[in-house]
Amino acid sequence: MIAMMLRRTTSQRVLIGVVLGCVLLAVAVVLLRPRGPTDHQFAGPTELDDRELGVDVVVESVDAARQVARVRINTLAGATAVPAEGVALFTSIGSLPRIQVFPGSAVREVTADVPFATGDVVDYPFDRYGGDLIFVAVTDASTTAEQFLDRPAVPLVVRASNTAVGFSASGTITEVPTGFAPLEDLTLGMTRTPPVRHWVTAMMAIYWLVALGIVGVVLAVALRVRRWETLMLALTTSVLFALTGFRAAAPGTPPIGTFFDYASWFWAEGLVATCVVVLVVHYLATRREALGL
Amino acid sequence: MTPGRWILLGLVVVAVLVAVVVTTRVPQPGPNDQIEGAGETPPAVVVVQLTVDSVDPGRGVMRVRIGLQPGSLAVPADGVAVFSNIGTVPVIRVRTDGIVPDTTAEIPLLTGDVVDYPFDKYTAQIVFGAVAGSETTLAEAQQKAALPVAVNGFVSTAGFDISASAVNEDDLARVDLGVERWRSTRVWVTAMMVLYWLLGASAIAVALAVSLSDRPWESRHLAWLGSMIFALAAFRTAAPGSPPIGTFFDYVSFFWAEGLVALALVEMIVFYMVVSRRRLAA
Repeated sequence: MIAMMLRRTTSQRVLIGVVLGCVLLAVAVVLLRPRGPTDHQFAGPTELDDRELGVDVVVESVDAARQVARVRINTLAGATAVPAEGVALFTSIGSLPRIQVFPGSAVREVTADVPFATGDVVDYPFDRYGGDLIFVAVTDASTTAEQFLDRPAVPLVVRASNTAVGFSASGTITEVPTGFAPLEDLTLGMTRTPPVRHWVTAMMAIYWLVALGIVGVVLAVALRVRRWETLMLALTTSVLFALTGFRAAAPGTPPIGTFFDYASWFWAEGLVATCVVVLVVHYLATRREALGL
Repeated sequence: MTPGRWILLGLVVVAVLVAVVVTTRVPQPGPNDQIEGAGETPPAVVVVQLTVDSVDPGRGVMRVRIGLQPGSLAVPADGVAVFSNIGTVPVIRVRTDGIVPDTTAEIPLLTGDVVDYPFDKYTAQIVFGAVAGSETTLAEAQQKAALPVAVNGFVSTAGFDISASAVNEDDLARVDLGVERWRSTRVWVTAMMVLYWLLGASAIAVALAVSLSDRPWESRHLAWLGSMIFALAAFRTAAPGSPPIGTFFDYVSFFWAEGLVALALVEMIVFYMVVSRRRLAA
């Protein structure tokens, strides 16, 4: 087989090498890709006591442009946690001030948009978001916000998980002692996952390298290091077009005007557009004989 | 070293410099910026934490988040009702012993139009007033003495500079907000306008040079001009804030550039069809 390989032309050997490399890479990706159930929980205990009302906060998605996290809140009651009159769970979420939990229907699921207190998509892909979610539970599901001081508190356990694509979550849960029922304060922090940050950083590098490559070609032509070819005009214009299309590869569909754009994309577009103009000026300002036409 | 290698070396140096500059500019996490001109918080019973989350010039609204905190003055035992001129949040009730969740609302922009992009400027006005008694209705509020209320303004919106002037009159807190695009946005879009004109003028100049026989006919010119029409349209998506079509930016540059390139393409096609084969080959 080695003898057969050696009889091939250089191009054929390169082709065989590339095919083998691709197959090995594909096998490595298939073998190394994580599989199976992943533990998404990032804050809170794993076990639930019989007397406690569990509140599972699942961050389902993050809308960075609107600066909100879509969260699902599941209540899961221990065997003796919910009295006959039920439990009223109060939250700091404006659209979800109270969740009622009744005995016998202990599992209750609601979703809400939670605005972040800090963070801005303009820092993409290095944007970080933070916010707090506060919970307090008292007996009697019919308790209103004005009445909950008079009701006995229900022991509460808050657990937080993250299933938002493209975001890593971190958080701490602290019990805030008050004169009435203790508050459970979930401090939430969200950042882009390392693969997203790495890929967008690579995109920034690619933008700059492509733009500088075009600048190099145009300089070489303009300084007459390389001869004029009219095809260069089509090349630079198609790159101008391609750079815009390439931006769609940025994960999370960031709005135009982020750090990523100001640090790379705008520069690349500006440089390549300027190169088109420089080429045209060179084409028109140079004598035909010098262009080799 | 050959000139080509000198160029390559220069580009590598530029690439390294760019990498260093970009690395030092990577944003660091921090609290939201306080609105420029918001000033010190005066003594008040309630402090309104007003955060501008986003500005949507296309719909003429600004989305704000309103949180309430106790001020330096004592809160009455029966709580406070905070009234505002925001249609969707007419009143926020504050009890001394309860949780007051943050409220989000959209407020209309009073002046300004996205058609002036990227030089569009907007104003908005928000008024807050507070009276004792968390259950007070608007009709009852007019019979009660107003309590001092203060406003702290924060910005967490991208692409806009927001300034504010707070005026306290008769214990009402009135916040006048001014909104304009970031300077970097205005500079970049101005550069885009210049580039659009240069690209459009380049297309016309090449078409004229060919038709006046100063440059030889090449079918590659058609490919270049055809792809330029698409490229110019794609280049427009680089305008920050995704402005709607039909703004100042479009009428001053984008439409002209597209028109000029299309005209140049048509002129080249006509030249190709009309001129004799011998002259084309010359």
